[in-house]
Amino acid sequence: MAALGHKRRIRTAALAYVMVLPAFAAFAVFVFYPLAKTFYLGMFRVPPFPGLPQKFVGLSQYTSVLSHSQFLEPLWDSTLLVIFTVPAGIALGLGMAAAAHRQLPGMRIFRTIFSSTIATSVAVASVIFFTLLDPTTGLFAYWIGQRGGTGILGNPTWALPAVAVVSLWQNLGFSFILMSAALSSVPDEILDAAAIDGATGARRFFKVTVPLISPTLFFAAIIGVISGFQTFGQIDLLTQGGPAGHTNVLLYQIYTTFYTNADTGTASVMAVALFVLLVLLTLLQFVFVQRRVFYADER
Amino acid sequence: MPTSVRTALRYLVLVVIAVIVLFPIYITLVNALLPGQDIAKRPPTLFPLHPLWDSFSQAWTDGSLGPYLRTSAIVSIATTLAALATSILAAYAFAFLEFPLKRVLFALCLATLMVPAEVTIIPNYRTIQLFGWYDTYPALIVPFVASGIGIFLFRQSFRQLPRDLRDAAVLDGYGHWRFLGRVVLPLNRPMVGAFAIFAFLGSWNQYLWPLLVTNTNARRTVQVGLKQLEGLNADQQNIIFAGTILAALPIFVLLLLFQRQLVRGLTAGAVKG
Amino acid sequence: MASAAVSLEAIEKRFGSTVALVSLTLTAEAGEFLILLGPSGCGKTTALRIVAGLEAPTAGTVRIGDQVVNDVEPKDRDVAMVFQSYALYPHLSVRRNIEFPLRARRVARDEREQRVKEAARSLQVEELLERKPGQLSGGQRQRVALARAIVRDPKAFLMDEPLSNLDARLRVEMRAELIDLHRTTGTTVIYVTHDQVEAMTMGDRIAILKAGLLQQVGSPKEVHDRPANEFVASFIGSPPMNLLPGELLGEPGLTIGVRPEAFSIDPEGTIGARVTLVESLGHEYHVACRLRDAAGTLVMVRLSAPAVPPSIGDDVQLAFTGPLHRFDSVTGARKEEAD
Ligand SMILES: Nc1ncnc2c1ncn2[C@@H]1O[C@H](COP(=O)(O)OP(=O)(O)OP(=O)(O)O)[C@@H](O)[C@H]1O
Ligand SMILES: [Mg+2]
Repeated sequence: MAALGHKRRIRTAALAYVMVLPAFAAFAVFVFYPLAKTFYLGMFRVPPFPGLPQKFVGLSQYTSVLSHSQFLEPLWDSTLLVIFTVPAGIALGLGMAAAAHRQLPGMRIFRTIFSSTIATSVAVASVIFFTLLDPTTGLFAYWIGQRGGTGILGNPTWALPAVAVVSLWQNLGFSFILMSAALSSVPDEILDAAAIDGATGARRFFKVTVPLISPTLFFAAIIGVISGFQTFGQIDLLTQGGPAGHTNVLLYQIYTTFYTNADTGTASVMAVALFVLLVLLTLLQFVFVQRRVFYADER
Repeated sequence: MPTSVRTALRYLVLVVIAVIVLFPIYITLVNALLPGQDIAKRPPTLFPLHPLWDSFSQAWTDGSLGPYLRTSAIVSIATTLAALATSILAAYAFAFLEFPLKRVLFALCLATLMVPAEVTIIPNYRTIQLFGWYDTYPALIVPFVASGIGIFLFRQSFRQLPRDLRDAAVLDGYGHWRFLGRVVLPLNRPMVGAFAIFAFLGSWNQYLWPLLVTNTNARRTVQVGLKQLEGLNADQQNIIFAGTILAALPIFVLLLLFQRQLVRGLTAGAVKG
Repeated sequence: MASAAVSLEAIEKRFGSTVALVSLTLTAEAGEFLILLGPSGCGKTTALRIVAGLEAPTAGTVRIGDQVVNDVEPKDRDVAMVFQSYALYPHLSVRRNIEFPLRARRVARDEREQRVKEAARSLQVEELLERKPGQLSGGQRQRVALARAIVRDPKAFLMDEPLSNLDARLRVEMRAELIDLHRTTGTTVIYVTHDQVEAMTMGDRIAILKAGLLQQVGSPKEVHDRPANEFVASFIGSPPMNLLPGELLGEPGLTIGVRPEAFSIDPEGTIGARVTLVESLGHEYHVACRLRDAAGTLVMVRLSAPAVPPSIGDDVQLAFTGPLHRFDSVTGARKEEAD
């Protein structure tokens, strides 16, 4: 009789393994193995001339690369980009969501328009702005009355903010959708209660609504930071890291180090650093989501 | 303030935002319809009185948008279907079956969420070459056939199913496969829709990976293809603009058709936690 | 008639360190309506799931007819289960729900239609066949769940508190229908409930469980008239039996059980008491009285339609008119009178 339980349990387990196998085969080959391999590759110094054998240097390459400006400068550029994009992105999304929250005739159309930029990819947005910002033919140069020259994307001060604007615009739709969902999750009774207590308009928005949706704001901030550090397409299509490395963000630096310079060792070290950074951010988010799930269960 | 004035102000705000959001798209459309040499004309043309539509067909053929879109469609659809299949199967096992190492494997699943594809490009690039997959469809599809977030979301959603329903099906004579096909999936259609859109968008918008593993127009996805457009001459700018529109169009149509699923897909886990 | 006896022999079930069933031996005879009764968490559902094969016993033997079914898959045990939550498939129409077990068994189409029609007719859900479960009332859902069970013509029905989600009136109605259904199909039923009225009115026999231990099996009359222990005595009957210290009647070491209806208010009675509470149910009165003994013991008295109901604060005399039950005050076990 225990035999039945036994046989059935074995059969169930066999079925379970068959079901998880495809996913885990892919994870093994394309996630876990390369992750370990990246750590490993980071321990080999690649000689400057192709053909020479790679040399095992262990963790020393990690310390040398991570303290070098070839890593620290891109890290700073990425950080700047995040600072430019994340708070502004959330604020804009929230503003748009607040504007579109009230039921008015025609609101469906506005909502569709506001979320429309999710139909654009990073590449689409970049190409659109690339042409708009072109120093000779672009509309932007015409508006600011400055034709020719290097243009804004060639300007060391303004290139990174310009890239940030492209990211911001491309993310407006997503931010709007996220914030709209958050706003509509706020129970009307609470807002009514606040209104009865005398809080209306902006006061109610900042004192009641914003605290209530703070979990989503936090979530948006974290994924904003994570995706900010993964910025690549905008750079490749708009500036190629220029001018003079002023938009050379971390992932672009990894890409050129690996693809253009064929320096897998250095690139791997930087990839590991990016990984650690993102893990810390993701953990932060998990801890937070966990707590929120907990709250929801308590209710 | 009287209500009517306030309403008017509200609309004004909405319209201003809409104009700002739409302007880049609008100007792209306008420029796509202008003759190439008119785009740089100043003051700029904001309304094309004599729209020329052949820039689109030129983008399709000369700009190779046709093959790019085809590749993107094949890659995105295949990736989405594969990710749906692997996620649903694994999620079913995690939700309904008991087996040794279940918790460990599930933890590994969650661990993959912390490993963005960008981090592993270097060994993965080598793996693709080792498999002889450089510049082929498998290179664009296979690395993304499994999705940790997909497994996680489907498992959550499957676990909402009452245990009695599973028991009833067992007594009615339904094995796991038929229970999955006849009961679990039909009841989780919204989740399937939301994840399908989510996976499709993710695949469609990829840039770095296809840039790394393809080098011919036949295998470039539309995102990478746009980079090729940037290299066109200044007097062919209308083709760049038309190509950009063509690249964005499929997702725009998707957005209009599946707005609900899209919103659910994008906000899954965000608002509800 | 495919009806078969169902028996559990020395069934033990543990969930980790929780012991859900302790050496349960119990048989539902072929065609019998057997009730499993007991408080929440006593293992009723677990026993049912073990019969169905949804749960494997830690030890013991399950028999259906004369076949040991421990090694038989649930679907091959030929029992149908009705769940408290109904467990209807929300995405399928009523017709497809009823048909579901037949499809799984690859019953031919014509026969399928015929059997669905019959099942739907006997439960009066013919008009609802094209609806989805979400468009049905609770009572209708219950009928559909029953139809899905009887359409299989199984050897036994297992019902887990099938009426507990219905309102009081519907419950009474469905009770009668279930009894009727049992009479016409003649199929063995094992019916789980924690409602003793349901148990008393529906069962051929009642098995009473407490914390995984079988307390007593017997006809409703038996368990009512001769409860095997204090637990059964206080669980069966409403209001529950009064359990008084034996000292009161000069029988130390015993607990004396007196059903509320065994008391009467009688000027000739020998027990003095004061009325502390009077509840009227219209046709009967429940009167709580405090005895004039040292401990001021409370007893409940049930009076059917007295001419002059007592009121709070009245001093009354009580008399027995019914049997006394004696239990060992340490073990709680019934003690037969020594006569
Ligand atoms: N899958 C399980 N895992 C762990 N413990 C369980 C499981 N199923 C039941 N139990 C435990 O076994 C005991 C009996 O549970 P069971 O569901 O049989 O009670 P029940 O008599 O049906 O109660 P109720 O009237 O509340 O439905 C309880 O203590 C319960 O917590
Ligand atoms: Mg139960």
